[in-house]
Amino acid sequence: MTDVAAASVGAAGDGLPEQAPVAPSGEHDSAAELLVSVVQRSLRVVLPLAGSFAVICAVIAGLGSNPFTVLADIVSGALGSQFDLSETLMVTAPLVLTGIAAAIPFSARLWNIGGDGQLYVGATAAVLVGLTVGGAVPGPLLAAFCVLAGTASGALWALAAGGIKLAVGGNEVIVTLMLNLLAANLTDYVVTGPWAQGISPQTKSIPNGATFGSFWQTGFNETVFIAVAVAAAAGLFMSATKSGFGIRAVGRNLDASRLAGFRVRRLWLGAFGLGGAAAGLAGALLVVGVHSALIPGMGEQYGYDGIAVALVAGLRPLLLLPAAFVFAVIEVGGTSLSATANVSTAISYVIEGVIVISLLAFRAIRVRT
Amino acid sequence: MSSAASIVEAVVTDSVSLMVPVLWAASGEAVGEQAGVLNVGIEGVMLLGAFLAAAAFRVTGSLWAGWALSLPLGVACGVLLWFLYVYRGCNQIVTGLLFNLFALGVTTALYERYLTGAGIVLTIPNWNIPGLGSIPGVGPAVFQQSPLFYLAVLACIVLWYVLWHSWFGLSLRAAGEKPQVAAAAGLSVLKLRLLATVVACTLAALGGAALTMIATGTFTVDMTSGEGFIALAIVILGRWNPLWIIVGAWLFGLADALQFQLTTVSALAGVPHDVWLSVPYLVTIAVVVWARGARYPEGTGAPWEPPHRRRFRLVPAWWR
Repeated sequence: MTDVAAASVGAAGDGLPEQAPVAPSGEHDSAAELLVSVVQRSLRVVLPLAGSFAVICAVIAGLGSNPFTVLADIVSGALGSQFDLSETLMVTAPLVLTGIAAAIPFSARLWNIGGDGQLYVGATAAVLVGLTVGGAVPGPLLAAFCVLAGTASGALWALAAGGIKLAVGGNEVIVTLMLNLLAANLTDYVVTGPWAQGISPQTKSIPNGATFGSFWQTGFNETVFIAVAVAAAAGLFMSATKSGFGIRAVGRNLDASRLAGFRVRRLWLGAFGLGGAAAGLAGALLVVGVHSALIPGMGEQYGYDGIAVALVAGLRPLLLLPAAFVFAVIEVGGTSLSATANVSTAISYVIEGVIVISLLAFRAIRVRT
Repeated sequence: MSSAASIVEAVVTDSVSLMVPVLWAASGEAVGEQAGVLNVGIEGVMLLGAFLAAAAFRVTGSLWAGWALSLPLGVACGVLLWFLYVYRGCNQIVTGLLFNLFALGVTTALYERYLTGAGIVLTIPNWNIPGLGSIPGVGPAVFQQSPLFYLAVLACIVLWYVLWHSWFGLSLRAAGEKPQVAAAAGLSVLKLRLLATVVACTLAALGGAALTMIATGTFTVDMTSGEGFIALAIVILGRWNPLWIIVGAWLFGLADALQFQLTTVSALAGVPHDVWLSVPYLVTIAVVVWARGARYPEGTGAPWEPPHRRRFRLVPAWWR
């Protein structure tokens, strides 16, 4: 076997028998049976959530803080005021996009964990275009150029991994991760190189006209609408087009879709390219909509969180919106913690990791694409 | 400016000490993958091991205490990941990635809460093997190394013997290659994989501890920075054979050491530092491309469940 994905495809059908099959609602003999099946289904979600709540509380208590205060602080820090809410929505937007970056390739059983690198490469390209072309073209056009450059370069960065996968069957998990680390070094070079701002480690800002403003004197701006529109487009693409169906079919059963005439290699490349484009767009929007410069660490863990978001959403682009919002609440609330409580902002990784792992363990969410 | 000869000597010596953490991790990963478990969570296990070693050092003042504590940590991680990967049949790539995220969060939070501030930075002293250590050229590089290096090489030799020259190793590889055949032959695939996962995680935790004890002497946030994934590539490069993995790990040590030493060569002064930092990652990608013929054990990464197994039910069967 040259790669892991191929083996898991083979085992997907026969390896895992369905656990506790639940009959469709019409086939229940009695109301009692229906009740049992509903209880079974909801227990599969409620039990892991309760379990992860206990684990998270234990971790916070281990850090020497009161878990209930901390959790309440997280919620109020993310939703407490108009500013907090707009901040949460502005974090939701990149999470939706990096969620798409994971969801589309995962649907084809391609493990693109390179969302992080694709985001940074997109942001780098957007900044470089903004700084070099800036002044020569009017602001809104420049913003469009930045966004396009970021999207295209994110797609290219992902296609590098996709190309290696196609050409030699190289394991895309390792390659995309290494591309993430390379992108981090690239970012580091750009912020210290000829484009450096000089004072703090970041690039110069792109021209003012090319950045989004903000509504209602909060941080909220067009970024959120773009993310929602892209999620809707991705949902339409995956469910209503032949290529989208092909990507899902390739993920479900490689041999069958090959026999059915789908061009597997083209679909693989397409899935990687679209995923990378979404992550690159996230990076470009972080530049144009939020920071107006390239700053190391500005992508937080969006690339990795996107994977968790995509899993919770069951790889469905439209469900990414609520899933990403929940994760944004955890992120923003977690960030607000360091000011109030004595708990590191990294607690949000713990919360996300524990919740998604326990949902996986109880098979409330499954990666079967 | 240092002479060419001294640079070569420094590179070789550094490469051997830099390969140690990744050698521990990769040798364990080879056992796991031979038994059919692709432990993507190796990075997280290493990070936890590195943190525990630093924390134990801060509390007890002994670096070897952290080393000893990595054993139970590795066993605990192994049992947890076996439960997820094998017993519950969760997707190994996705679960491993989330375990890494969890480990990053836990270690960062604990570090910021308890371990920040200037601690004593200490690494364990090297052992000079009498006689061999004074061989010109090779001696200082290979025979004046950290004891963890000798232990890692010893572990690789033992693992090689067990995997390829014992009935037990044969069973383990059968469980990874064709679990259904192994089960039909009367082996318990689940138990074999439990053992393999525990060994894999224990060695990864020891590798993480080695990172603290040899390389840095202290913990820093996200200090593994991809070492676990580099170990995954080394396993491919070494074709799942612990002896070849020693060679593979040394190549990565070499790439790492070059990055430190080449910055001191004045002819290359114009090259940005970030290029040197990228060398190990580029080498990893090159290895993945170059190892195109490498074949994972067939069952690796795929969940497998014995037929007719009694399963855990959320609602007892008599309820219906």
